Amino acid sequence: MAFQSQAAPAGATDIVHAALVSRLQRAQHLPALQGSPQTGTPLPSYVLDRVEASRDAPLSAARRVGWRYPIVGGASPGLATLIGEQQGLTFAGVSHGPLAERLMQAATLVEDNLGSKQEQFEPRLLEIPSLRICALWLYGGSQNFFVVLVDGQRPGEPELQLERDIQPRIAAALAGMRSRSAAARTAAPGRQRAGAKKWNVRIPLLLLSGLALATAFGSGWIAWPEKSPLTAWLIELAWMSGLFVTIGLGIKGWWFGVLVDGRNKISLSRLQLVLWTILFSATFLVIYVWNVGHTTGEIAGALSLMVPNAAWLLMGMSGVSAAGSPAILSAKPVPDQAALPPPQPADGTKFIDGTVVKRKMGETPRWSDIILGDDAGNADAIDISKVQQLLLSLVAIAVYGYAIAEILTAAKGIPVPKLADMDSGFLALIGVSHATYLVYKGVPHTN
Amino acid sequence: MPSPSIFGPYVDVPAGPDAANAPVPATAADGASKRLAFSMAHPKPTEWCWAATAAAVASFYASVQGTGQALTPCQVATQCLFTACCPEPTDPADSRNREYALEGALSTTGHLAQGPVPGTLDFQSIVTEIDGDRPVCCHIAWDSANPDNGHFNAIVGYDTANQDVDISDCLYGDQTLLYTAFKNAYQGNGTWDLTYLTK
Repeated sequence: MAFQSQAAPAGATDIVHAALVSRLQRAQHLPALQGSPQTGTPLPSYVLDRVEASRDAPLSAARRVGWRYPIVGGASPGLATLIGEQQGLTFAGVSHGPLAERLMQAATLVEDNLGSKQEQFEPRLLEIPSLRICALWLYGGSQNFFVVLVDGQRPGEPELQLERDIQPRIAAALAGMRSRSAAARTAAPGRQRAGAKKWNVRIPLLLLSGLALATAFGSGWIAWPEKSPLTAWLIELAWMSGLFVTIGLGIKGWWFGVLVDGRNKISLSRLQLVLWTILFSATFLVIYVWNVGHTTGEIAGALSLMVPNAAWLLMGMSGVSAAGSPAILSAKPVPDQAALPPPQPADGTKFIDGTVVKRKMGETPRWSDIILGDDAGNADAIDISKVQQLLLSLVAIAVYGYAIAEILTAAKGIPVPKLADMDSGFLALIGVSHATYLVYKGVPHTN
Repeated sequence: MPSPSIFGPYVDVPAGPDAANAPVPATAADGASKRLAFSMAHPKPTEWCWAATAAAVASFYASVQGTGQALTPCQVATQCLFTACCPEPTDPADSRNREYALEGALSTTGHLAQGPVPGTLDFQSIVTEIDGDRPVCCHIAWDSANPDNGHFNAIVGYDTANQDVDISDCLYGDQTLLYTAFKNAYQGNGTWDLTYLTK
């Protein structure tokens, strides 16, 4: 006889059978218990942790932690597990699936290859969970054989084979684990990409360099021919744009990442908010630093820049749109489950969630998102309220930007007293456009 | 599949109570049970238990509650690693075969309700989550000295009569385990140390 099993503790089989009987009522969820299940001779289960597996002779450190009972005769092979020793034996559970199936196949392989040998082998199960290794271990004292059931690979791969030594696999798994450990420690808990850290370092550096630049220009340390803050303002606009590009690259992986919303689409309201933010941030930064550098009185006086209502309204309206858009979309009604499903967008990268159009994760957002509909009913149609909003916003930014440039050009060597104002009629037009955009977004477009 | 003689002799499991005539439990305390229609893919990359778990959760919510989209592990990995991961890499040394925080994957797919919460859920809380059709994800630590060395799986069912939990695992398959055994001795020496609630 080539195989001699280790004797299970007295009463172990009764414990397992009693536990399995009490679970027969759930057999619809336990394929191993369907049909006419039988239990075989249990395999002692030996475990190694990572430290034990790192030793020169790891098998000598293997600890028996329980027993695995093969289950046959059901809809699929299974394993019933008993943990503890003699007085403290406890049924731990029953499993089915690839591990049990591989164990049965491994047993057949062993019978075919070792069944005629004179030596005796004791079947065991060797588990090294930390290295994702599980093997049928034929313990023969002076020589051992192994059939690896799981070695990190998808269960069922690769083909089973009889091996004389498992230590090369253990060594390879340990080496792989060490090389991955650094990457695992830096695995970001959120949406960061692997290389985001280097970009994150650049963001504060860009911020500091921009402030230094503004200070240098504003205080007059760097003199320009026209002696006005216009050039500094243009450079600050470019620098502020670069900052947003850097943030987008660092967080989302695209240079336009700050414009991408939670639906993985480029958002018009985000675009407006970003453009106004760049314009106002660069303007305030340059003017305040310029005024401090060119004031003839108190510093506090230099900081009392007059900001007309137009500026607050322009910034506020874009902020309301940016905050209101996702709130409106999240409140869109979920369609009746009994109703016909909404039409799917022609763009295969998009899908419908409720009635709202989203883009699949992993797909790259497109600029056409800015003017296409957000609803299942108008996913492939141009949303005219968005087009209107986009055009009016670009005109407003260009006009207001030009007005600021005029003021800065006029401030040759003197502080800037106030920001540019804007015609109330044009402001009203922008306001109506924002309102139309939000109302249109909220109206259902899906029947 | 023939029964290998190496594991013989085989003994019949005694017949249990007639399931068809068994009384229907009235409450959880009487012996209620439930298993969610949850299945987990077995990805080829050895370190993708996080992707398999997050993809299975996303697919569950998409099919059962109609929220979000069904995903495969490689689609989850593509989103999290910001590099194309479909088809799945087969070389274990591939740089995309890497570990990742499950909370990152679950929040990327929009299904992280809370977590990681240190420790375990008590059995009654598991019942509450499963009754609410919410699988519970778990981190198993193989090595207390090295918390990075772990594994993710999900609790997808329970049986109050036996104090069992149904586990879906991309590496070890589906299992029905005694709650205390899953908590303290998963696969022999694994310990459930972090919990992720889903939505």
